[in-house]
Amino acid sequence: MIAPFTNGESIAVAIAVGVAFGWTLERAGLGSAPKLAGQFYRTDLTVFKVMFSAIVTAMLGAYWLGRLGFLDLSRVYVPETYLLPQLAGGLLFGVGFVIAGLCPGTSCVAAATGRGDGVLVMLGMFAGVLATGLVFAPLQHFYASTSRGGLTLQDLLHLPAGVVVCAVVFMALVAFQLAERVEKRA
Amino acid sequence: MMRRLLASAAVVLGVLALFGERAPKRVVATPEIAPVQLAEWLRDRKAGLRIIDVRTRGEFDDYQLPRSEWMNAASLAVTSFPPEETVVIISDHGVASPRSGRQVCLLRGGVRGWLDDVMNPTITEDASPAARTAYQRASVVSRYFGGVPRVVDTPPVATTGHAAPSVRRRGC
Repeated sequence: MIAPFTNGESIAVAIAVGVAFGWTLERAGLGSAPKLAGQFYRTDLTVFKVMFSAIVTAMLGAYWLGRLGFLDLSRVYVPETYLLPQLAGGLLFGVGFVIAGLCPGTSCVAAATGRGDGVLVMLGMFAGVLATGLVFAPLQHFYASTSRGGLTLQDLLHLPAGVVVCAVVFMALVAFQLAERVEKRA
Repeated sequence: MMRRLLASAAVVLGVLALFGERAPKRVVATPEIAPVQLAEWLRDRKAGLRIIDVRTRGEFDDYQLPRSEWMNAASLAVTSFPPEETVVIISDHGVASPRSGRQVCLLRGGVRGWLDDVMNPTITEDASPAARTAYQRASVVSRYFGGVPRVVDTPPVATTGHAAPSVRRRGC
């Protein structure tokens, strides 16, 4: 039931998924910096709701497709965890997000829809990638520090995957309710 | 209306996940495969061969077999392997069997077995003909993987420990 893809097919699938992702972000209104900035002022939590919905959808889909034998989860790449470098990167990402009002994905969407701020954020992103590459040598030790391997919630909590899936679903539903209340108060 | 429907579907699938989980059994994967046999499979590029290392991530980073991939031991128990794949598991302890997979076996001796039998095969001058035949077979793949077959004065002490030794990466 598991269909292997050739390199060409993999790229075609990746492009299709990327276009679908971009289209979904745009339809959710996430190509607009003011809308995204509303997240930080607690006036518009669309980003949180869209992203968490996507996480829950992907989680349920991956879990059940794997459970039913349609998806080989052992071949799904789990990015490795590096605690301190990722904390530092997350902080830098957050500061950039607040300043620009866009994140990498939404900046591409904004640029694709002709928004100048999206183009500028993309240029800044590429400049950051270039700068990191130029100074990578002295950063390399820190970059590879505090490695925890491909860590998942079930590994961390020592719980079966099904329990984690159920817990995350209920956590999301509670979070969505709270987000709605926060938005109504604003 | 649509949001309630989607939320309900998520709840149903989430709750069902609680019961969809199968408790992993703490059993040893059988049968075992000899390190030299695995080395020959690797050399011959056996189709559908997957080598899953379930030792700790640190042990894997220290030393790993060619083409091996790391996987958490708990994840292995809930993993389905396609029937056309031959899965060799590297573990210093017993492992929970994967959910499916027709050909699943455990590497005999783990990484230590690989190092002793493939990377450092030895033989004594007075070895039996059978031992000499096995040594010749091991020597071929040993050299392929950059190992050093040696003739020694005394037979090597049998290794029974579980932990893989601290080793330096070999080869080019």
